[in-house]
Order: sequence, then structure tokens, then C-alpha cells
Amino acid sequence: MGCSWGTKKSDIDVMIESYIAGELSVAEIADFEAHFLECDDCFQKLEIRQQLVNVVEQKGDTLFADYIRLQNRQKKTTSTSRRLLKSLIFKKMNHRWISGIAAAVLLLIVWVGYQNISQKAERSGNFAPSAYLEEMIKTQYQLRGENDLRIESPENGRTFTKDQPIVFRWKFSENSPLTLKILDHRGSRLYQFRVSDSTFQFPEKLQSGLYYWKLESEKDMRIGKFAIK
Amino acid sequence: MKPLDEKKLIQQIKNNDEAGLNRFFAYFYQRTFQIVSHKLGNPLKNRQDCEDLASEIIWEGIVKIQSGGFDPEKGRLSQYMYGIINNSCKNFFKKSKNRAEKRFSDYRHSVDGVDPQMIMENNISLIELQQKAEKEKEREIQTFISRAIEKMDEKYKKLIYLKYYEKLSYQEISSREDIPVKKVKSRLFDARRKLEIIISKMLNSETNISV
Repeated sequence: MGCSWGTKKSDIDVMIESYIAGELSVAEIADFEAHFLECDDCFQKLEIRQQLVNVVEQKGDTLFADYIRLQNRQKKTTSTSRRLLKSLIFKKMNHRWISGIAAAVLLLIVWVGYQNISQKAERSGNFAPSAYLEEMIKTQYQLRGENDLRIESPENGRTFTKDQPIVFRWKFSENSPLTLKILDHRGSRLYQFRVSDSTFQFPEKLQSGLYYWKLESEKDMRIGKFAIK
Repeated sequence: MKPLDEKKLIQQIKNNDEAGLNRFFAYFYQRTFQIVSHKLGNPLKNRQDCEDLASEIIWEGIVKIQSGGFDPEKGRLSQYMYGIINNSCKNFFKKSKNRAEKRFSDYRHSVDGVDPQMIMENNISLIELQQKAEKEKEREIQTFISRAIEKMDEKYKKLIYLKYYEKLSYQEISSREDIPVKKVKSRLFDARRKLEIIISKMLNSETNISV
């Protein structure tokens, strides 16, 4: 039994993926839902896809244990390499330099300790940053060759009060719509919007915490973070 | 699943025929649950709410059909059910606290000649039985998917991991794995296709046995 449903997105696979990811417009959702109420083919595909998402969410830790272990090991290796590199640099320096650096490090430790105490509440709750997303923010401009998508606001790391409007502004050389995602401090997606202008005011109220955002085009992506106090 | 013979099904439901009610439930419950869970949010977190609402919608559909609320000459059954689903979801958000009582009393006044209390009592065990069967089917599908993922070729499995576990976009996977976005999409498409074939075989064999 084949499905002959004609949609704007001719590929039903893309349609199902977009439906589950919450990327369809209200009208597209209504069309698609009305369709799969009648179409066995599409509903079966949708059901399997939904179960795939559920299985990965529920059993992903076991199913992908090898990858997770490997990724953790890679992270450790990276930090070990950095430590080794540092120790090599130290060997080449004379003692006077080392004393100076040690003093600077001591001052730094004291300063970090002070910062930790003053920001303890932030770091312990919804403000704990995602290591992966932080790394992405640091490396995003090194990875991308093209720079067609330019963010004007909010500046990365900005802190808003709960009542302050969060306005996104960007410059993009193409006219195609973009996807704006708001993620929580662990990187789980909270909201997703299709945006077509060069400005967008986030319409929801957020609780205190650290949030990340991603602005994606077909070819490019920008990521940043902001905090709500 | 066989396509619905609507007129026959409507007649069976009006006669309170168990086979017809079973068929109606089997066809619409999972679809309704899917739409409801999509509208209510994460089905893993709101599962009980989604199940309850889907059951209520099915029950509402049965009551309305039995009271002559649906006219097959004016439209298709799926369209009629979709209307009920949409209204029920809107009501769920509006008055979730006293939803069950209010809706039940609505029927008591609006349905002529049919005692909703009796229909509810007759059908409630049927719905519970069908729900159990659906959950069993869902568990089987999940087991098959888990096994299929375990046996999957590494190049597919890795992408499933990145897409659905790490929740990366195609663009991010492309950067991380150093393969073009098109390749990421086509490999994921192939991976999902393989899963669909496995599960379709399973579902179809199950349908052939039960129908």
C-alpha cells in the first residue's frame, strides 16, 4: 500500500522528522495529522520513528555505552594532553619565571575561590554549564569558513532579569528562514521557532538559569548563551 | 491493517457490537495517542495524561457515533475524529482540573436516547484491555528497535547516537564526523529505513494473525 499524499515537502521522511522535532507550522501539523489518521503507511512510519526516539531516550545509556565511554575517554585524553604540554613548557623555563608564574597562579586560585563563593548558587543549580556547548561556543568561528550569519544581539553571556525582553538580532545574507532553538543549561531543547526577519523577541518567560541558543540556517549555525537572574 | 469500511464500522458501533468497537479502538487509539502526546508535550513525561485523554476521546467518539452525531454522508470518520481530538486537547488546556466530570455531565444532557453511564461502564473494560494490548505492542516494537540498533552497522549506529542521543543537528553531525550534510542525511535515512522494514515485517505478521 503506497502513500500518494502530495505535500510541500515531498519527502515524507523529512515530514515525519520535522513533525517529531516540532519544526512544522500549525497548518502543516494539521495537514499531516489529518493525513496519518487515514494513511497506514505514514502512521506506521511515524510510530516507528517515535518509538526510535523513545527507545534512545530510555535506553540510550546502555545502547550507546561504547560511544559514551569513548567520548568521555577523549575528553580525559584532551585534558591530559594539555597538562603534559604545560609541564613541558615549565621544564624549559628558569626558576625565576616559575616563581613568578606560581605567584600568579596562587593569586588566580584565590580569585577563583572568591568567585566560587560569591557565585555558588549560580553554579550549583540551573547555572551549571554544558561542557559540550561551551566547547562549541569557543570553537564555532574556527570551524566555519563562511561567515554569512552574523549575530548582533544578545551578546554572548549576557545576563537578563526575568522581566527584561530577550531580543535576537542578526544579519544573514540569504532570505531563507532560520531556526532558533532555546536550550536549557544541560543542552536539552526547550523552544524552537522558525524565524524569517532579522529580529525576534523571545515571547516566553524563563526561570533563573543559564540558557543556550542556536540559530541555524541550511548551511550555517551560530550558538551562544545568556543567563536569567 | 485493513482500510476502514466506514459504513459497516459505524453500524457495528451503533449496535454496540464488540468486534466493531474493538476495530474502532485498534484503528484510532494509537493515532489519537500520537496526536495528543504531540500536542501535550513529551509523551514520556506526560504519558498518563496522554493515555487518559486518548481514551476519553475514543469514548467520546463512540458515544457521539452511537447518538447519531456522525453522518457518513457529510464527511469521513477520520475528519470527524480529528475534530474531536482537537477540541479535546483545547479543553484539556482550558479546564484540566474538572475535565472528566464536566465532560461526562455534558453527555448526560446532550445525548438523546443513549445512557452515557451505561456505555461508559460497558466500554471501560474494553478500553483497558485494548490499552494493555497497545502497550504490549509498543514494548515489542521497542525491543525490536533496541536489537536492531545493537546489530546495526557502525556507520549507521554512530549517526543514530549523534542524532537521537546527543540531539545534534545535521550540521553539527557533519562538522563532528567530517562528512557532508547530504551524506549524514542519506545515512540516517538508510538507518531509519532498515528499522522500518524490520518493524513493518513484525507488525504485518502480527496483523495477519489477528485480523
